Amino acid sequence: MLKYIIKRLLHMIPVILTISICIFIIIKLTPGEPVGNQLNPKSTAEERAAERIRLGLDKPIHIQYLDWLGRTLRGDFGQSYIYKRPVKDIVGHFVVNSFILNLGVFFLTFLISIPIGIVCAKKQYSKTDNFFSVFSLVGISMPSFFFGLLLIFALAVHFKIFPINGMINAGSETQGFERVKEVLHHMVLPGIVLTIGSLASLVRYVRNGMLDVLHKDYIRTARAKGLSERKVVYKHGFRNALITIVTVLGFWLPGLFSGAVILESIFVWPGIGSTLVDAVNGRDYNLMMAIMLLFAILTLIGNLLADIGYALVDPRVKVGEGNS
Amino acid sequence: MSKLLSVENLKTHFFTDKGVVKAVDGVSFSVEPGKTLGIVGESGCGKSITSMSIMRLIDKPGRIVEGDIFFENKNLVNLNQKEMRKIRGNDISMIFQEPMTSLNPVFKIGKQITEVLMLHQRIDKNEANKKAIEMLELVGIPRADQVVLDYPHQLSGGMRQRVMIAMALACQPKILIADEPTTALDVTIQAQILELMNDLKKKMNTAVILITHDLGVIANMADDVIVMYSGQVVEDAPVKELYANPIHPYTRGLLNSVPNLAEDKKRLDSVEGSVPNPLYLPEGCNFYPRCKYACEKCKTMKPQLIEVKKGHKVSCLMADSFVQDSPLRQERMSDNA
Repeated sequence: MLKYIIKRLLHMIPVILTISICIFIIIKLTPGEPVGNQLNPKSTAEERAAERIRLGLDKPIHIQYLDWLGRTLRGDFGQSYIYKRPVKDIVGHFVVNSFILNLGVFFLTFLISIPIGIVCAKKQYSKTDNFFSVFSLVGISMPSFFFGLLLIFALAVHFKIFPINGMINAGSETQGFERVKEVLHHMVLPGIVLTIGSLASLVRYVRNGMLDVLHKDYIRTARAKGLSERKVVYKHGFRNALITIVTVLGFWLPGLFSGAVILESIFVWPGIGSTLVDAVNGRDYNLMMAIMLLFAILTLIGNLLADIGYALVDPRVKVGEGNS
Repeated sequence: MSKLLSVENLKTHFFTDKGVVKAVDGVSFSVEPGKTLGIVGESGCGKSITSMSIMRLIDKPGRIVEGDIFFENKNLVNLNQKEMRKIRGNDISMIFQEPMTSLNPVFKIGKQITEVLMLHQRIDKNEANKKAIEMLELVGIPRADQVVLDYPHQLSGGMRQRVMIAMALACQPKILIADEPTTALDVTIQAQILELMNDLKKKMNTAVILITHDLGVIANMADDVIVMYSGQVVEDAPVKELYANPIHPYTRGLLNSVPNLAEDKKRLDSVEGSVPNPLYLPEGCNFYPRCKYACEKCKTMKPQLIEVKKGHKVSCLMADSFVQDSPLRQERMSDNA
């Protein structure tokens, strides 16, 4: 198993290199340059040219890439143009904020959607099942920015129960437990929007996974043994449906850190998603590259974790043996 | 001899959007202790639904609408699910057609057998494990103490069916329902499995309900046979009597379609036509559209299953004319001569 994981991690290296080249090219293809944002608008053409040379933007694109690669391999992600601070610090800071928000959503979603999915599968086409089918459809179809704005309008502007946006109150200097309470209070609205969005799709996954399993022959065998319906569904059924759920889980893990671009912008949540938007707008190449690369690596690790998860829940999958 | 299980006028209907499907429509038969009852018929004639009805495992939109299933002074039709669960796997157990998919892929063999033991016999894990290994040895699995730690995908189809049999017989049930237990296996394995079932049946004095469409299997295994056609029993007789003197035209058609090594036929005989759509059954006898001997009254009258000879019941309006000097029997005899 360990050997398999190491091998998979090594396989990631060429993949990440390729991805980084692609991202680099795409970023360079976008029109505009960071120089305009760095200098004052009245700067002369000479000043601009000097700034370009200082940032290394005058060199051919492949040299620029190799420069970047060399620095990155040494652990230096460069300075952010817009924040004027090392990229490493900025990414670290904002990823934690995204993680705080997403971790809560993640647990809530799984805790709620698994039992709902199972009940829907057990009672297919019942009122409960139909209700959650409609709920899922609405949840998947409704854009998060729309739902987010609705909530802000209703619960923050009209009823003033929750703060409109941000992670803490402006100028707040609370400490310790008070700070936690304050952050949690700010988390409620973006948390609801994110949870409902992911709940909608996960309920479908669990329901369909369970439905698939409940029609299998071994479920009939379990019933014929005289097992109670509870054991048939939760032990024999769910244990098999987990195989489907683990796949989804793997795809979700990167999302824990990567944040939600649109949602964070609406709620002004200082997460990595809204930072990416800022970086793109400011043509902050170093910051963009670092964040995109982080997303790519997280996705690859998510896939690896899903594969390992498979091997854990499905005895037919033997990881690291045979085909190597 | 006293009856262990007796099914009387069982009707299991499926209430679908298109209409009522009478999958089992007035089936009666009985099983004696330690004997094997064969149920034969084409696909879709209600064999499996009959057995699932006995287990009370009919899913919606299906329902037992009428009839009684007596087992040891209990009417299974009236039991609630909790009482029924005590019988399933303990007094009446079942093995299925597809050994490849009938075992749960994520649990070890041992666990799947001990589960049923611990459920019904109130024994602890160690004892159950010992018993599971014993059962696996009994069904002829080598290295049983290691196989309990295997997952189903590590075993072949024949081995898995042996595991299913071990699991089904673990609690020494009084009845084993085997729903086409050998259909999915290749021929040599089929013979082994059938022999094993015969062996264990004698050892444990278990009655067997053997569902199959293989007439050869029935001839080797069964004591009594019922022939089903579109949800009804058309003939019910001891196995020797049935093969020697088949009465119902459908039974005779089936027997005629079995290739005979002594004959040199260019083509196999078949029963012409196909099973009627269960949504639109004929008004009279269900078999009359395919019957060579059908006459006017067959179109309008439903035949009843009546005893035409001792122990030989037939559901055919023309039965009387077939019993003595049946034209078809003479035909067959002249064919064989």
